[in-house]
Amino acid sequence: MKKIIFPFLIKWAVIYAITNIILMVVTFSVVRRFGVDIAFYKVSLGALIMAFFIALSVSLFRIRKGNQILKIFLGFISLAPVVFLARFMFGTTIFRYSFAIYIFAGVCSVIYGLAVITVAANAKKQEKELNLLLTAKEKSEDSDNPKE
Amino acid sequence: MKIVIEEILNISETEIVIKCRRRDDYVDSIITSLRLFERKITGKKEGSSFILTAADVYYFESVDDKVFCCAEKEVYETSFKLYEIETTFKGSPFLRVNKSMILNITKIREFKSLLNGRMEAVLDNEERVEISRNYVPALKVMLGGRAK
Repeated sequence: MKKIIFPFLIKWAVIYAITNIILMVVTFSVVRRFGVDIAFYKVSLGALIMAFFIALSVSLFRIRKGNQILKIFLGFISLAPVVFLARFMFGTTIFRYSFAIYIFAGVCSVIYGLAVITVAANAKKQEKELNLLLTAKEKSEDSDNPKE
Repeated sequence: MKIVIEEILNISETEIVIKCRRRDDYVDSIITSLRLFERKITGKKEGSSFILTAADVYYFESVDDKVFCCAEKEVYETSFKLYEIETTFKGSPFLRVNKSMILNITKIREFKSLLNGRMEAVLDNEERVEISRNYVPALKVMLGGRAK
């Protein structure tokens, strides 16, 4: 249990710090642009819960066992509450029109998709590199020992 | 380095002769590596003790404070700690690949990457073991590549 909870808490803490910085910038922009007051408790509580769901998404995505596609799907599903949290935090100030929430959900999906593609592409590149090194090593051993 | 292998049917023990200008650190490291790989390890299985050659070991794995030594099909328990094994086999083809495993890299058949960015090594006995991202640079160096 420790092996699951501690890494999750670390992820949560790191993501919470990043989320806070991003939300601080967004809140500042909203206050400057629209001249409205945003409740502090809403932003701080929202950031904490948002970070929880993002950490959950990352953890589900990175889980060791299970079907890969299912893990990606679960990671995506666990991101869904983030959209509603954003609505709870900024209310009608940002989400004045109903379609804004769809746009936000779309942006979240695109970011998630890009993250999945980048991670998979990097891993594939590394796999290729390691396999090349392995083949080269085997070849050099074979040339050293032609009888084998 | 040139490696010459002569197959002689009537000798009882394998003999290695190193021809060099003078004995230096490089030659010493070859000797250390050869000796380490010939090292014997005691493993316990179902109350009986077995002596294994390091070359037959696929990997050492730590599970719940116990260290297991995995050969092609059999699993033995050893009294050594993982860090002790790591120190003892320094300079040999044994390399730590994640927090709980030391892998014999000569048993790797190929590398496979997963969609979630994780890396796996497929061993000669079809087993799959996880390679942690933190240990990939060391693995690359060991396979003759360069760590970025």
